[in-house]
Parts: sequence; C-alpha cells; structure tokens
Amino acid sequence: MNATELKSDNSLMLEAQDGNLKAIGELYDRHQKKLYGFFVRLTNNSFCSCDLTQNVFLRILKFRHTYNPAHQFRTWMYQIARNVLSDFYNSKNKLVEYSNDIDNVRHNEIEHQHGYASREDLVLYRAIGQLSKEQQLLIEMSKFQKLKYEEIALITNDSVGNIKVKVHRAIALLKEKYFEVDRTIDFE
Amino acid sequence: METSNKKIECVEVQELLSEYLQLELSNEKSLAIEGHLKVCSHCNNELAKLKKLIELIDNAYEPEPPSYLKSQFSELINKEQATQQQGSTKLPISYTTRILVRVAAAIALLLVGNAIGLFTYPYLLEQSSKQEVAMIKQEVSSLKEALVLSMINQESASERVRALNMTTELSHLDNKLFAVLLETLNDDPSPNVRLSAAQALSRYMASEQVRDSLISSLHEQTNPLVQITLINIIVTSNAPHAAESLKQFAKSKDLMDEVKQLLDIQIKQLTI
Repeated sequence: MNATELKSDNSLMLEAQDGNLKAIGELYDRHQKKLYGFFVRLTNNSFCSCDLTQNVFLRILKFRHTYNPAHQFRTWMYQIARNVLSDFYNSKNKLVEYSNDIDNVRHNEIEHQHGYASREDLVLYRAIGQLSKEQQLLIEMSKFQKLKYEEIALITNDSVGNIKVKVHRAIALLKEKYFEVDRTIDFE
Repeated sequence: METSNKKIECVEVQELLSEYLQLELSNEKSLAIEGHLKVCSHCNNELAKLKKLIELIDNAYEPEPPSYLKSQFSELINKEQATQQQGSTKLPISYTTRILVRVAAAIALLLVGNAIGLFTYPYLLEQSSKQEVAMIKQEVSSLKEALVLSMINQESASERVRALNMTTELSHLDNKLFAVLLETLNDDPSPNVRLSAAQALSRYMASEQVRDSLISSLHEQTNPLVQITLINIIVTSNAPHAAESLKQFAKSKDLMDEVKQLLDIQIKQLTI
C-alpha cells in the first residue's frame, strides 16, 4: 500500500541522509520489535529495554551522516545496539539507585509479560542467563536475530572463523544448561 | 582399547553436531557423523536435544514493545526535522547536557570547597558559626534543584526517573519544583516516569496544595499502575474529603477491575 514498504533498509537510510527523516521512522517500525527483544533477553529488564531501544534509534538519527552505504544497515544497527548495551552494563551500578518502588513495579511488569511465555521459554531464558555475557550476545545475534557469521564478525570486530567456533561452543554449552535447568527448576 | 576409541569419537562428534545441524560441514565430515550416529545411541540423544533447543529458540515468545515507544520516537524525529530545517547543526540534546555538566561541575567545586573548609580549618568551623554551614547547605540544595530541573527535560525516560529520585535529597519543595513535578505527573508520556513523579510528590502530602493537585491528577490518569499508586498515596495521607473524591473517581468509566476493587476496599476503610 505504501511505496516505502518495497524499499530496502539501505535506500531508506540514504533518503534520511538526504534530509527525509521520516525514512528513519520507517526503519524504526521495521526493527523496533527485534531490537526490543534483543535488549529484554540480554538485560532481563523490560523497563530499561524501552529506553535502550530508543537510544539505538536516537543514535541512528543523530549520526545518520556517519552511515556508510557500502555496509548493510542491519549490521550498523546491531553495532550501535552492542555499544548501547555495553554502556548499559557499565552504568548498571548507577541504575541500582532507583527506588525500591520502581523496582517492584518493574518486576511486576516482567512477570506480567512472562504470563505470555511458556515454561519452556522461562527455562530457556534462565539457561541463557547462566552463560557469559559474550556468549549470551553471540547466541542472541546468531540464533535469535539470525545474523550471519560474517555480520557478527563485523559487529564484534573478530574473524569469521573465531565467531563460528565461539557460536557453536556457546550452543553446546546452552544445550547442557537448558536440560540442567529443566530438571531442577519448578516455576509453580 | 575399543571403548576408549569410541569415547574419543563421541567427543569429536558432539563438538561438530551444531555445525552438522546447520549444514556447515563438508560432505566428507557429514557422512562420517551420520555413520557414527547410526551406531551410537548416546550421540543420537545429544542430537535430539540440540534439535529441541534450536526449535525452542526459533519458536520463543517475542516480547512486545509498549505502544508509546513509537509515538515518543516520532516526536524525536519531528524535533530533529525542525532543527534540520532551521539549518542549525546544534543537536537539541547537547544544550541540556552542557548545562548539566556545568551544574555538576559547580556542585563538585562547591563540595570540594566545603570539604577543604571542613578539614583544613576546623577551628574556623567552630567559630564562624553554623550559620555559614547552613548557608552552604542551602546553596548545595538549590544547585541540586537546578540539576533536577535540567535533568527532567532529558529525552531518556530512565534519566527522568533518576532526576525524580534525586528530589529525595532536596530538603523542601518550592513552587517551581512543585510545578515541574506536577506537570511531569500529568503529562509525561512514560508511565514509569509518572509513577516516580507521584512518589516524589507523596513526600509532601502535608501540604494542602499538593494533596489537592494529586487528587485532581488522579482523574486525569489512564494507566492502572499510576492510578493505584495515587489512590494509595491519597488514602495514606489522611486528606480530608479523600473518601468523597475517591467515590467520585470510582464512578468514572473504563476503570480496570483491580482498580475498582482497590477503590471499594479503600473507600470502605475511610468511611468506617
């Protein structure tokens, strides 16, 4: 129904560089759900994830002129998302200053959201939480976001070969953790 | 000997299973693995587990971002578009950030000065009366207030929540701060920020003005969490006429069942 729906991410980004900022709104519509899921799974905090999702697109908006059209938009977006995430991890101590009331509200919110998730999903998220931060990010990018090894290598500034090995190792470990958690946890 | 050979093979196979499943192995290696899987039930079991894990990931529940996110971002785009049309290269955020940094630096300087004063001239402190200390305290307090006021305009909701939580460090509520807190409570797009504003204001329920404005704000709120928080604050404040205004609020349409139940209970308790 809309001509922009047929345009590639990259050409929307070029339009934005030419001054049509609505094009970034279109990119936002396309990617916000995936990005929000990225942050919810990696921070386990739906309240902060709203902000982090916004921050990624705020940076895309502010730094639109630094985007290099030779690269895929998606790769660039996840590079920014990774930076936003590590800023969040670094500032986490400051965020603990939130009052207890806000914490309670936030927990209810997550439980509320979990109401839609199955027991298997909860076991899965719990198992992912037991991996190292690097492994969590690799699983997220490779399995949930379905990025190619080449893209992940660009995003994390690593070689394709290394990434491949690390992803498979993380998967093998996650398999162990999943069935371990599955045996021991009772959510009732 | 044979069993140990087999074990080594199992370890190797299991290391490659994930690649095997993603079809990333050479033909030769794939065939070797298939040959092993025909005879080894243990590795077959591991393969089944891996398949299940991948399937779970593929079908995992995707959390849904709240709808207000989209409208918030549209606003940011409009703002950016406006500054672009002015031909200005200044970023809207940099101005507040610069003020913030300046205010923070001022506070830091003041605190350092304060500390130097306290540690190097203890005798001065004794003499030159508590008046001076009180003055400095007041100055710090007003600087803090300036910091809160500038932080509350940040685009990020968590920054705004932080600003609101900083108000607990302020000794008193002046008219300017009160106006800003009330405006945040009534108009901020994020329910989390509105909640923090309600909490911040709840510390001043001794003031009639604050009580009245919280009660009238309740009628404006649509988010059930904010409604519940405000109801509880109003009830615990012992405000006169609280029961009456809650009764009136209970009549409004579109209330969630949980909110209605809470209202019923609280109104009963107040009217006993």
